[in-house]
Amino acid sequence: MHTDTAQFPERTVYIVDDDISFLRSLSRLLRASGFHVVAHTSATEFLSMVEPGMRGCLVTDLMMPGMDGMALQAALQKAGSTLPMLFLTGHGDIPTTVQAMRRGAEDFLTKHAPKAELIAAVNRALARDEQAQAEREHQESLRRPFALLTEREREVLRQVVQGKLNKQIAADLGIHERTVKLHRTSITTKLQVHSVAELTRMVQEAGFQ
Amino acid sequence: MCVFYSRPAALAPATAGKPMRLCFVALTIALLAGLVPLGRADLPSCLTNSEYLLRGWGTVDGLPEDSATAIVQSQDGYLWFGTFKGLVRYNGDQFTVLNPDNTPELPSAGIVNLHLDKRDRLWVSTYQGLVLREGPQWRPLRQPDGSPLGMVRTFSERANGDVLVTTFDGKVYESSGADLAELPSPPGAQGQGYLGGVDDEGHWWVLQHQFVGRWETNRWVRMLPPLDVPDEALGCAPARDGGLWLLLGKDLRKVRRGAVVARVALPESPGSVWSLCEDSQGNVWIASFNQGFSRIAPGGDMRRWRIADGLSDQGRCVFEDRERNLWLGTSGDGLLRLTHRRFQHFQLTSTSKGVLVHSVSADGTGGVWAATFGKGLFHLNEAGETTLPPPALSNSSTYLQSVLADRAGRLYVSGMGVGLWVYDQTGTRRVGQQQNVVALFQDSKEQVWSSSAGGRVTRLDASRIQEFGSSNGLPKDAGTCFAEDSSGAIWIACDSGVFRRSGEGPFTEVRDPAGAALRGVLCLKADGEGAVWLGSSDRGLLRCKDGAVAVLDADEGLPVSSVGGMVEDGLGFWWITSGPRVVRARLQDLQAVADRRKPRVDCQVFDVSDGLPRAEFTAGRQPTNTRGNDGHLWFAMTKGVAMVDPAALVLNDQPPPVYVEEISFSRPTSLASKPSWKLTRSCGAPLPGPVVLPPGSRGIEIRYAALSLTASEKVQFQVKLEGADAAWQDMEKRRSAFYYELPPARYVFRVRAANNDGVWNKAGTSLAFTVLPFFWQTWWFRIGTALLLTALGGALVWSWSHQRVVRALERECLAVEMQQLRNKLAHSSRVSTMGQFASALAHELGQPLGAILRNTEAAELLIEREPPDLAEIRAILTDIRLDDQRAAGVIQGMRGLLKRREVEWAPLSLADLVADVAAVTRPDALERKVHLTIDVPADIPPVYGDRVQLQQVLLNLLVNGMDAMSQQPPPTRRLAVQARKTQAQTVEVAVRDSGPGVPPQSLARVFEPFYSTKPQGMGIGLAVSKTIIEAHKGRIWAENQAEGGASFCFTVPLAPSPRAGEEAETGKR
Repeated sequence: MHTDTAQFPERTVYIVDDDISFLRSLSRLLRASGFHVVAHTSATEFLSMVEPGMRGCLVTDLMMPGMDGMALQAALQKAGSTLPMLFLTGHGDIPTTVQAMRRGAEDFLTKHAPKAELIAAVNRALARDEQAQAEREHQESLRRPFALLTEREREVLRQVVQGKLNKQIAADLGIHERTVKLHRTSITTKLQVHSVAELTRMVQEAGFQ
Repeated sequence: MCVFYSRPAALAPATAGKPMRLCFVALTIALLAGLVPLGRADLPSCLTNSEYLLRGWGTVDGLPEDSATAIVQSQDGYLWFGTFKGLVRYNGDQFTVLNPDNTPELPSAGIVNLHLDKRDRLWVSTYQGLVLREGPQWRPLRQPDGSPLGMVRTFSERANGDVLVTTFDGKVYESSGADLAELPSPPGAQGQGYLGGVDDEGHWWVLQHQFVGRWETNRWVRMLPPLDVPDEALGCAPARDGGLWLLLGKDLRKVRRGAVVARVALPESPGSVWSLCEDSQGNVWIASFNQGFSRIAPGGDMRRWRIADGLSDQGRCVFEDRERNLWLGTSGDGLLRLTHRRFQHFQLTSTSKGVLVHSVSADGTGGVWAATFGKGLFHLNEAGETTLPPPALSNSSTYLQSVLADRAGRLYVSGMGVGLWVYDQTGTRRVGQQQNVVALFQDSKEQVWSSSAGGRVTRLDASRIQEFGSSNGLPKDAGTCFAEDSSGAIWIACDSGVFRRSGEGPFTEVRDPAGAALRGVLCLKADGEGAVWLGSSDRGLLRCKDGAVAVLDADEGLPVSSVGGMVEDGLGFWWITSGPRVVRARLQDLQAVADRRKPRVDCQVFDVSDGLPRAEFTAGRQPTNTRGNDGHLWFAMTKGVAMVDPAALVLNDQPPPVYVEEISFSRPTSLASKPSWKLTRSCGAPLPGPVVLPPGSRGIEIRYAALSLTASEKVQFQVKLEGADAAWQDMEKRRSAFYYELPPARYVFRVRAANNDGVWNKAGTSLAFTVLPFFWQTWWFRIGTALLLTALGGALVWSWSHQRVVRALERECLAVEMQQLRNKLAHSSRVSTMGQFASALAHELGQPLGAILRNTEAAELLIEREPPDLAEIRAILTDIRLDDQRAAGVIQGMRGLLKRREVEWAPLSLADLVADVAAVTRPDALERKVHLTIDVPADIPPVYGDRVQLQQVLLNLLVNGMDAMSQQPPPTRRLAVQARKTQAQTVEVAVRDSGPGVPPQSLARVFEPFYSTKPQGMGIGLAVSKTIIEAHKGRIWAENQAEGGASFCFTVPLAPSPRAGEEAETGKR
């Protein structure tokens, strides 16, 4: 595995650092290593362009005037962003590191960390972003067929996965038992399943309510 | 003379008569002693009053037993009485019981009889013999053969102090001085006791049904033939004029100069007599042990009170104290007291709830009209009361508001919802359209003013009705009362203020000197000397005279703050009602106080202890009080009507004897527990002195008593502790003074008291005591210490002056050394400060170094490309050089701070100086989340000093400020550097933090070397800063800011102007 080149060149690496000289040098290095880089000189500047579902990863200086790295992390989490984060610091500060990691920082590096370590950390962060995205998409794909169901079919489905008999479902919903059977046929057709067991598993995986 | 109503004759006779009177005593008991009247639901609707108020005490009040066998008052004022379970002393508040357990000299707790002789000796007859108490000493008195005396039936005393003692077993003893001598047995029935007595000629008398006679020189001489009445019907008592009262069955006679000077045939037998007593009004009281108490008036009128009347059937004795209170002793019903009643009370209904009376007005017949709220109109006289349903009102309203009997014989009555009605010889008619008239007033022109709750004011005269309103200057709210001053102007008090109308002009408002409206005035009264007095609901009395308002309140000795009514008694006194009380004060006295000619009002306060009901005086109506043509004052109350005869009022003029009864204190360690030491006044004796309290005595409590027995709950006290208090302290009713801690000294505690009628015992009493000091509080210890310190100081001064010469020699060398030392100290401080900057340094250097590293790595990658991006590589190299220079700059700056060097004086730009230090501090500030602001105006002229040293000072102050805020929440950590030019050719630099500030006691010390409030601080930074600033001829100080946080400021001199600077340089060289 190449550790010193970009594995996800199409993904953006966002960098936030108040020291312009360092920001420029880091951008240069990551660009030269094949990453797509967007640089910001402050956390607030970066936050202003954050949007939900943003892809990539964030490399930020821990110590900045105004909003610092930890505050930025908190703000991102509050905004619902799942962007993986990588902290840089002039020197390792153990308590801060622990705190940041606990809150979901992808990694923690000193500004003098070897290049390979830095590139690998950025790659890991981007990989995690990819994985998270894949998971989101899988969920979405599972959920998609359920959108085809009518409201009545959803109601019947809920009762079916609870293990109720057609008779009970009919009584509960105030419809004829034959109608229940028709709904069930329609459900299995739309979801392309062949047994109640399969149906139940699909419902659980998709988190259908 | 009122002739327009006829008194309902049927009601009047039923109200008078003896049985009724007796009931009233019972009612009094129920009211005053808090007892529940039993079986008295059907009290007659008419209630006159007895002349006495009754109060009783029993075991629940602290008596050892419900009896009082004999009662005396010792010369110091204490009341003594015997019970079958001990001898009791009463100080008006508490009972002290003496029995063989606490007084071994008493042979028995069963006290049969008592006598106080003219030498203030107390004779105590017990079941087991007779003892005599002289001061604190007790002495048994025995029979000549040494055996104890039998129980004593009577004590009698001659004017010369000789005492005759008769016993139940028929013996007769005489005491002239120390011992008892038995007299020959009188020739009566053997073994049966005699009553003893003495007449004005000094002859001893004995009474028995078989023998009534006297002792002449050496033999008994029969004075009366044998009697046909039993011994139980006999009585004997000294008369006030020196004679002797003899009760022989129904025959009461007084013997004087050997003759019968008065004789009363009693209408009925007083029962089995125990004792007789004549009171100061000439009444003879008979205590009967089966028929209660009887009173024979000088005229022969006989009254009797028994258990059914609230007293007792088992009478034992009657005693009148110095304040004319009558004390009744019983066997089984405790101790009773009768006090003279000052107020009569007419309840008007049979229920104890009473009826609210809004208004009273005396007519010309000696009677009084009372307007009740709910029971219609009553007409009262002293004998009782008569209801008269007003013909026109009887069917419409019994809820009356005001009544006025005017001087022309007309009666004005107003009620709720019935308007104002007039009765006179011509009949009854309604006048005006007013509803709910609450105030009626007749002026000197015989016009009647009325004011309704709706705010309408009218004036009636014989022919017409005139209405007054806003066009006459009156407000819209209701008037509560009227008055007419001596100039004939009419005053009216309204809710919103007081208004005055002179002549026929408009009403104008009367305001207080501050221009405020006189609100809350409940009553008005003119004093006939040009002033009008205002009774306020919360400010006491106000006098308006010649446009000035004087206030009489608690500060002026007026014991009430709310005045609901005022009435003059024709004897120069005003009676001022307030709630449940009435204050009597002389008008001249009130005027003198209002004129500030006298500081305090002398007055009496009458309340329930004077016969007033448990109710309040009516306020907010007019008239609420009235003076009858017999001089009696009548008051409307929330329960019925009260009446007093001012001419018959007898004040208690006895200043109360005052005693300190006990002093106690606690040890320092045991304040919470009971007193660890107590010195109690033994009965009749002063506290044994001198009273000395040990060192560290705390919780010193002094208990005292004033022996006014009439209404001891109204006794007022003042105390003063000489040595601690400058003035008398009002203790009101408290009977003890408490001092938590007194410094060691000698004190004199003084106490004085006033009786229920405000008569002061100005001399009072005193108790001297000493609180001893601990040894370190003594003068010799202090002087010794002072001497020692002086000697030490002297030695030091000597040694200092001795060495001064040496030092002067050394000073030159020292100065050089000191400077070097100072530089060293500054250096070490700098180093320690820099230690705190270690992490900031890493950050500061880390940035350029990190950038260099990343740039190099990027360049390596770029160089590998085909073709290499040379432009970018060139840019990288430029950046690397810049970052290298930056790192070098940082190191250079640190070196400058770390280097020890000689001082270089030069003009400096303060802005640059501050910026340099701020640049060094900022990383640290960032890390510590401190918001750092720099505010140095650009126009600040250069200062003169050493750059590095001044940087050092600023750095110290900034680090100091950041340290101070380390415990604050990060958003509040603010550090500001401000500079300004002062008047005095200096620049003041202030470093302000938002920390907790410097403890006030540390403000002056923070600049001392090795003084630090920081846990890890060495206490060098600020001391060095002070040294540096003072070397710069500046000043450095610390202060706490009003908005929180500390501010450290220093001044440095301005650099001389260029030209002057050259001169300075030249001068230096």
